[in-house]
Amino acid sequence: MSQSLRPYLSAVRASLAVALTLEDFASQTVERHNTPEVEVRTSAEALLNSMMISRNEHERVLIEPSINSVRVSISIKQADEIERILVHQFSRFLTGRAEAFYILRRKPIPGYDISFLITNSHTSTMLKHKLVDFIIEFMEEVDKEISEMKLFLNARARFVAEAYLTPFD
Amino acid sequence: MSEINWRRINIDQYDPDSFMSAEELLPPVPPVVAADYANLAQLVRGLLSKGDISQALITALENPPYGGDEIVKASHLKTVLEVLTATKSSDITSLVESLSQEQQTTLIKYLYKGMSSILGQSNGNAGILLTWFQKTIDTTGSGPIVRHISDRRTV
Repeated sequence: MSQSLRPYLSAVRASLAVALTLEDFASQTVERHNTPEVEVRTSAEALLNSMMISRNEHERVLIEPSINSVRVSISIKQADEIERILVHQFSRFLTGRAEAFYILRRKPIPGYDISFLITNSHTSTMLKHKLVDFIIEFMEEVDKEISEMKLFLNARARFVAEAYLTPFD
Repeated sequence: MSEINWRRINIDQYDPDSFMSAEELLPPVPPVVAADYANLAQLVRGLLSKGDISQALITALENPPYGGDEIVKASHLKTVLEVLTATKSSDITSLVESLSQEQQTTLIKYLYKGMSSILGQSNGNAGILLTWFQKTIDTTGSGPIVRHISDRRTV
């Protein structure tokens, strides 16, 4: 793990561990509804102050806690045009399968590449520290994955170009 | 017949007791005079140039402008960031230990705010803020983070 990644991830871990203290909380505006307060934003007293942790201008995490849900949005590093396309496709791939990921939000919030929405039902059925571990591991892996895909894409493009241009040699 | 579909009107919005606004949630905070914070910034800069970082940090964190508008808050953030970036990373732990609980909470608030501002994210400042954050949490535990998310007074 690189030197600046470690404090970044540990800051996210500490903030998430605090934010994930959730309880069941029924809607105050609609009877017999139970909605994530961070999404509906109908009662100001159920929302808490948000936390933003950033490593540089491009890599940052926004944690928005509320009484019964937490929204975690991640902005993934995008250094050039290829990475931007890869990140877009990767987050599309994941959000298209959000049903299987439980905590994944189907659409990232504006300005971020991927969002998670953890509600009190998730923390009661899954282990809290495993949820934190999952998000930390996701952040670690996603950078690796994107740079690997970029290398693979470049190698493939070079091979294709060579194969295509050989007859004209 | 009127054009308004009166069955669709949300009558709760006309009842002031049915919801709480963000202003009602804010506990009473003293109003802020912008000139005081300009003087404070001068004082902090003077202490920094003398090399008294510990006193500069305490002065900057003592009276956060809770009641001020965005301009005062942004300029005070700049003052705090100047102190934080001037500190050697080996001194951070002892500095944090010398702060009171209230000041440690204010420090965490400024670290989060710094990381969400352009100023704190650019030219490698984010790395310094993350080091501060890490060392503060190591000393204080997660208490200041809890107080940050639940405090309605923002810096």
